[in-house]
Amino acid sequence: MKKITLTIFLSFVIALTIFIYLQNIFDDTQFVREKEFFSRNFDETNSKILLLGSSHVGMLNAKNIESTINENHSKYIVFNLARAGDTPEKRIQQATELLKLNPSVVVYGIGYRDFSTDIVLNNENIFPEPDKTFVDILEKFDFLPDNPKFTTLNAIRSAFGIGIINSSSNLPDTPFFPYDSSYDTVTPINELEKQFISEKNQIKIQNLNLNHNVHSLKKLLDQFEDKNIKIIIFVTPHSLHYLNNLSDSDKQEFENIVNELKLNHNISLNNLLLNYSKSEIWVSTNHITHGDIGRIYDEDISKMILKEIEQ
Amino acid sequence: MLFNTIQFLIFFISVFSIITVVKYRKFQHLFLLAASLFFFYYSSNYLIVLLIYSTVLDFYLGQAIWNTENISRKKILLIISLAGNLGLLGFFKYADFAILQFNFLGNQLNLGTDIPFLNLALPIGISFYTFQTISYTVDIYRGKLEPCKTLREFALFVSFFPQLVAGPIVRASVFLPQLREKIANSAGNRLKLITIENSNLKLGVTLMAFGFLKKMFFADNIAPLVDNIFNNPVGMESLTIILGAVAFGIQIYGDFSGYSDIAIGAALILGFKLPLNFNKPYFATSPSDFWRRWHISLSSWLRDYLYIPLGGNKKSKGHTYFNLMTVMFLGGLWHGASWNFVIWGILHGAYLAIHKLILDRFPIFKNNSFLNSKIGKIISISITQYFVFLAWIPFRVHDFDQMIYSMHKFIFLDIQFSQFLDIVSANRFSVILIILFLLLHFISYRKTDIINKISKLELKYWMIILTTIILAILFFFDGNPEDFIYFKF
Repeated sequence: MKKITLTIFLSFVIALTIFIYLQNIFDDTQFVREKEFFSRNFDETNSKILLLGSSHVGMLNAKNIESTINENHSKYIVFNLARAGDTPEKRIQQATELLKLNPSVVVYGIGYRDFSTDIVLNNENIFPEPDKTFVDILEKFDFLPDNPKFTTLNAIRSAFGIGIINSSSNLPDTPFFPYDSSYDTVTPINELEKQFISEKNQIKIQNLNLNHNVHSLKKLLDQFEDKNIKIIIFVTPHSLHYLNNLSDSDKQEFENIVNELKLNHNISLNNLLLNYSKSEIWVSTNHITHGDIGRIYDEDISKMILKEIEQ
Repeated sequence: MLFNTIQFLIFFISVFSIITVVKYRKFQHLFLLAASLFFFYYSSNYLIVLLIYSTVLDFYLGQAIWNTENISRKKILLIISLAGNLGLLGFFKYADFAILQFNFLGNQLNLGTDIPFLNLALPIGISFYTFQTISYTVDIYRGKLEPCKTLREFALFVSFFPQLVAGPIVRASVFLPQLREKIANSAGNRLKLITIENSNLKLGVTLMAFGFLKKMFFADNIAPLVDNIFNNPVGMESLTIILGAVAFGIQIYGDFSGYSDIAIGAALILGFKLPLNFNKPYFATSPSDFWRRWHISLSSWLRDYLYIPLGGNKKSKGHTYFNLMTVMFLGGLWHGASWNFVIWGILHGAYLAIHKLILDRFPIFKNNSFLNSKIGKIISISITQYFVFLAWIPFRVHDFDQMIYSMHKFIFLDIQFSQFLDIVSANRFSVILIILFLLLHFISYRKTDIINKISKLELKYWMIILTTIILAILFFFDGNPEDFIYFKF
């Protein structure tokens, strides 16, 4: 039995070694892209404006915003550093790099999802939950890539000369949010309704005192404030279908969080939540299209920034 | 706890190590029971109460049925057991479905019924362990099985972790004797010492490795193509719909038979033999042959505990067809509280009944030399699988209009090559996997017992195969372990 067990063990070791070695060679994941971006030499003559947040912010076009701002002020460069599925808890891990960029303005978009906790539908457990503890422990030892399949397929595509899907398809100055041509198309209302049904009950916002994301965001804001960086917080726009889907308690919790940020931080707060809720500019129930019709979103953010830098 | 997670790997290695090191019979059995309950509790939390309820109820009812001489009392006790088990299953699985139908019917009759939904969590594995415990009390009632001697043994039979959440549905008569030392081909009184045997370990690990390969390499990577086609099939042409149906057929086979292989392999490593659940179903030559090869533990359960008690084929021909339809209707409903599963079941019921009708009307087809020839077999397989894949559409597409549209396109061909090529081109990897899977399925059909042969290879060659499988899984894992489809049932 010892020999068989050893063989199984060796199989794992050999497979993992080959896997990690090759993944590192071909990897083009978020981690590598972020490392590459933050190690760039930036032109310090321009002031940097950073857009932070999740995919809601990822739908903003940094170049459109930059050109609107620079119609009157020619020294600004805008980077959209949004990441898909980002939360303040994840973003705070990037704090040191963000501060090193020495931005003059940070624009942070927050939405319901940023403060939502993962929930299992209709599964309010009574007894202790070992699975959650275990997953938390495992996450601390997570050394494997996030999506090996993506890297493998890209390596194969590259070897066969087929176009690869990676950061090269990002919009300019939007290094962490991959561009997808489907974002240019507006989704019809009846399709949004279907999404609304499938998204039902996916949000559960914990009380602000217990909410890790609130604590992380506050810590991050403190660090920006310490460096005298101007901070603009905006509530990201959502479609009516999405908002109808939220429970009153979650809406109230979110409002409490926004009020907490307003009261305790030196920020400029803007609420775009309902701005386009009834307009036909949505790719999904909470993402505005990248297409021309969605430029209104870029313009509103530009106005917000202009107001702040002209103060 | 999903099999395809690092948590399960750690859990299984821990169980294996402790069983190997501590060689005290009582401890091993108690530990295995505790580990199984932990396995269930890990992902089901308080719903473990239902598992314990089922276990306790049927253990004591089983003993009471055995100890009672009075036939009508035996019957009453059996009815209590059935009501207790099926009531629990019905309440948790079908309550909201029943409310939906009731409200719908009420509104059709202008009664204004609006009963609120209960929104109950579906307890994982309830359909499987309920059927296991039912088979236990029914077998005791029929005098085919002696009741279990201790609650601990019965609890281990019900909760044994490899097969707990998605089968195979193990009969007590198969599992319980394995807990005791064998004395001249029968189970003795002494608890079995669980020893890890080399042959079981190698075969078990090989089975598990192939199970993981089927699930994580094939099924999970074919799933995006299926989703791409069936999330919104309206507007798709026929070849695309057929591709979607074939892809889903392979996905669900890889997913479920992969799960079964992992379960059988894990049990075998620990010294327990679980029944075979799949036997190359896509080479079935008739609908009845398909059900002898697909989800064997369920189809044989339905045969023994539903079809035969209904009269099977012992009554009139019309009665037999009706029985087949009824059994498959209930078999469909067993999969989930939704009309699409019912349609799937009814379709299979109709296939079985029509096949039986043809054989009854035209006995020439029985043992026909042409149908037994190579070409005859190819024709039989092709016709059978055409209908099997057609039936996968209602299983996968839940929206009624989309289901009808897809089935219509599957039957009445409307071909647009450009659209089909676009789908194939956008899902090249999934399409390559489908071809590869069919090729491997064919090889395993031609060369029987291939897993056993691999497990008997010299260690160095065996290691190469294991390493290759692990690499294939790792390199094509998208970072999110996908649920097993049958976990929902």
